[in-house]
Amino acid sequence: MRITRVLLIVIALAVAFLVLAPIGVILFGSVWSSFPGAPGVVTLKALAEVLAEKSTYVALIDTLIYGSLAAMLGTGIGVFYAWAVHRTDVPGKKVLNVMAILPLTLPPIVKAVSFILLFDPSIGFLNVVMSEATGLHVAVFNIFTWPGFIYACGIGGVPAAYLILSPAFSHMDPILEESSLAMGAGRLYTFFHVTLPTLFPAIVSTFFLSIMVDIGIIEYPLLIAQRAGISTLVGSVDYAMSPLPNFGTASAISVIFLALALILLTAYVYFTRRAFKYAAIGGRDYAPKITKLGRRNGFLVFTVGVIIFVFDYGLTWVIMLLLSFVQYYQVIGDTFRLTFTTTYYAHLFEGQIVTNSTITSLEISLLVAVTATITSLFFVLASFRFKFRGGRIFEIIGTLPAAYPGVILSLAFLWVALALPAGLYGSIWVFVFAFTASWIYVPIRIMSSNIIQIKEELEESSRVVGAGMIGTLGRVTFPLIKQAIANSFLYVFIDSFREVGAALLLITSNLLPLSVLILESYNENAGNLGPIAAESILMCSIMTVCFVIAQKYFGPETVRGSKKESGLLPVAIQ
Amino acid sequence: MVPTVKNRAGIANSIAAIIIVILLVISGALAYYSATYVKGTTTTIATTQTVTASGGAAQTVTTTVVSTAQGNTGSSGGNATAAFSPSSQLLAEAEKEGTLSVYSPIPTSVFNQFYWTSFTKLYPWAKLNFFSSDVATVYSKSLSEYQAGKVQADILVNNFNYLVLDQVNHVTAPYNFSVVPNYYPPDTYEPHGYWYAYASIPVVVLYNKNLVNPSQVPHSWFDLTNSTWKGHIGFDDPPKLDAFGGSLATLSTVLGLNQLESYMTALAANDPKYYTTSGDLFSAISSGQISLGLGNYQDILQNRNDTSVQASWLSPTIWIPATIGIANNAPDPAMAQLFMLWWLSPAGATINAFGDGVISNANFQNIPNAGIIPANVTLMRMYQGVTPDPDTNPTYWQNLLDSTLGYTGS
Repeated sequence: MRITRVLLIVIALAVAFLVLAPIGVILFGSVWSSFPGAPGVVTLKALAEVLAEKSTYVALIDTLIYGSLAAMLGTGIGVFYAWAVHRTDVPGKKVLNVMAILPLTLPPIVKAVSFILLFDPSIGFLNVVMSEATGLHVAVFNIFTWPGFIYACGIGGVPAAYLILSPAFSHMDPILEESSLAMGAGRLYTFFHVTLPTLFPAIVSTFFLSIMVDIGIIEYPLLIAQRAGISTLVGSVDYAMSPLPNFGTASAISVIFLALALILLTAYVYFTRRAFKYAAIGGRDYAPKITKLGRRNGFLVFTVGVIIFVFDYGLTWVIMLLLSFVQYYQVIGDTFRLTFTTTYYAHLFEGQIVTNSTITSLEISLLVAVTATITSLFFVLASFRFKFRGGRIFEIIGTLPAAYPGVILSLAFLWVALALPAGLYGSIWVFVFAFTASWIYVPIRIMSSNIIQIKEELEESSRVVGAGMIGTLGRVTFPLIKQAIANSFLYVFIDSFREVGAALLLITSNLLPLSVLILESYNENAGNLGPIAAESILMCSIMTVCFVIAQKYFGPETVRGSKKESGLLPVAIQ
Repeated sequence: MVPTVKNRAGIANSIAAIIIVILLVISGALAYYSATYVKGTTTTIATTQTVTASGGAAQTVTTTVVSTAQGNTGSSGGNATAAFSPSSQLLAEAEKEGTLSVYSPIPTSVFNQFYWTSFTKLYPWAKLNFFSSDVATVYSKSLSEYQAGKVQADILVNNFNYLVLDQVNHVTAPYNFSVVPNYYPPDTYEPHGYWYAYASIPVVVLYNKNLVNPSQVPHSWFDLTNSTWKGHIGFDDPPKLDAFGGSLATLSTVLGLNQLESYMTALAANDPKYYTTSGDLFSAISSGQISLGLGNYQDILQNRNDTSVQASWLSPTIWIPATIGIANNAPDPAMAQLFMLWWLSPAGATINAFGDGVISNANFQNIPNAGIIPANVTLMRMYQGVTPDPDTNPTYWQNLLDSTLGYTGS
């Protein structure tokens, strides 16, 4: 009991330090007439002005539309991959598993540029190729439309959706499905009336998180939505920050993001308020029900998975590869004019900067993955396993950083860091703090969607036979959520490798990750995409190697062919 | 019990691998086909230029130098080098401080490879802390640190309007270098020494020579309103008050506000596309998305291998100062002054000439590879004499840009 209290105090402090401080700064900024820290007065002027603007509501409606549809697309595809990999005998599970996660390795800025070069109506690679092939000078694809924008935003959310959903799909107790089938229900009926409702919390959790993440990403709105005539709230925040940063207005708009996040999270808590209802992993011997697809259906499912992968990652990768070998991508009169070069790769390895940045990225990502995963684990345990009223507040608070656009969150982190005692600002610990707070929301979602499915009877049994809390966690709970822990680690590792997110303002010359190098190249000369493409291909390749190695040793048991497939009980309860 | 599907999975994995390989081969073939389809297009290796910097080291460069000053004092590079040398007292104090912190939008790799390498040839004991990001982020970080009383930067390199804002908000301090007026034109530095324009960025019409008939290339600001360009013209985001927005504000001194509004309305009638930066705009013109637009000459200099994009000089030509200043309460003020002197000297100008790709001081002679603004061009410094001042009252200009151009942001 004493240990529990100590843990709770530690978690409460972590919550306050990691999450509430930057959120508090942003809220304060929305009612302060100047920058936080600068002389000013409390005023509601910025909030009133934002709320009085008609454009705010136009942006809000557009944001809700594209956020919902993009989240639906990302979650839907995530469900498809998770189902195919964990609940069917589809051939090529390992490949599908990789295909679902690999798109995570490309930064949003690179993907946004790639989508434009692929699907621009006049110079898009696919449009030009199809015009050449068919002789019909019609643009089949146009990224600068509502469907194009939703596709760009939605498809980017597939890896996170898959990782959140995977543990839930792979750990589902088949007893209800078996009962349904035994009662004469068809497979389709069973899937929609038994399987999906059982996985409801995980799917709802993924959907709501996807909305929050999608509407906070800045790259697609800046490069695509604006030319598609779509207003976005995150674009309004960026607009408020330039040329003269108007933090009051930006913070006031961010309050709308916070309100949206709270509504979504409240809805999620409401829908999953009877968490025990969804518990599916108990003490009974079980193995997940595997749907036998048959040869033809199996091939069909696999092919669909490959097609999605091609549009999510394959084409993006191909266009980046092409760009990394051409001086300039040019299309004149429906015809490519490309001059090949290897200069960008030659420059890549001149000097030590790329090598050093790669090592730095690996070090930072490893550190962040460890801290974010451990912190998230505490948050999830506090929400679902430490018995006290309102425990789920930890889960909600830990998810709130996802509600803020990076441009505003990074400033909030900077201000929090500046308020720290002398000596801490500029140190590695500030990075760790900002990185961790930026990324904990995904591990929290991954682990909470898994832990919510575990019946507490197992832990209760452990305690009855005399095990303490630590012993129960170590021998019962952790083994049952170890896949979720591994997924969390993997997600944060890759995501923090490909971009620095809200910690951008805390970067110094001593810590220059590869992702920042790419961003700097883009800021310096967006007119020449070759160097950016070469750096992206390098980063993507490194991530792919890391990912494949990680999958070999820590990947889902359902695709590694471990003991689980033999139908044995989880090790901890044998 | 999970059924064993090892054999089938093995076959499927092989099929998947084959599909991926086929995809790669197809993409490679498409790329090759695309590249070779156009008659007369050949495969070449990008060339870069090798020049010798003041320190004697061979440097690979892709940029050039243009002079802004229309009058030349005729000072030689050698005399100027001596004039910009630090005093022994400054040198001793700087060596005692040892470390320099620079905040700048210049990429870390470029700064290390060119600037710092050259600087440390003269001062090998110097150590560097460098922060690079986009212009707005550099400004936000330096302002926040100043307001929190935790200034980390010694030197701030940023766009002109941000250095002006730094001055207004006391983020920079006045450092007067008596040698500067002897070598730099009066409109290239703030009289009290809050900022120095070490280079300039002319705003020009960028056009794709494959898409724009030579006889139709715009030479005046009003040529941009020609309906020929409807749907084929682009600008950088006007509210950012950079190349496009900043130029319009500056033109108000020539046209007057009423005529400026009519002009902007006429531009809007051409249904322009907007891009986040001048670099994005250049990329769109180069790739053929649009035919022409108003952008920075810097993009031409940075992309000299791309001969499809050309520049047309307008009259008047508006130039944006590329500026540097010393931070208020800089932790290493002597290092900051030492670096500033070097930066403004012929040695620094030489590096800026190919490191930044824009304009250096014309009074320094023998700067390698220096380009020249055409003699018949009338120059106007961005924002000079504009009322209300866009640096301190950007809201007015944003509202004007929004109301006339119909720009609603993103």
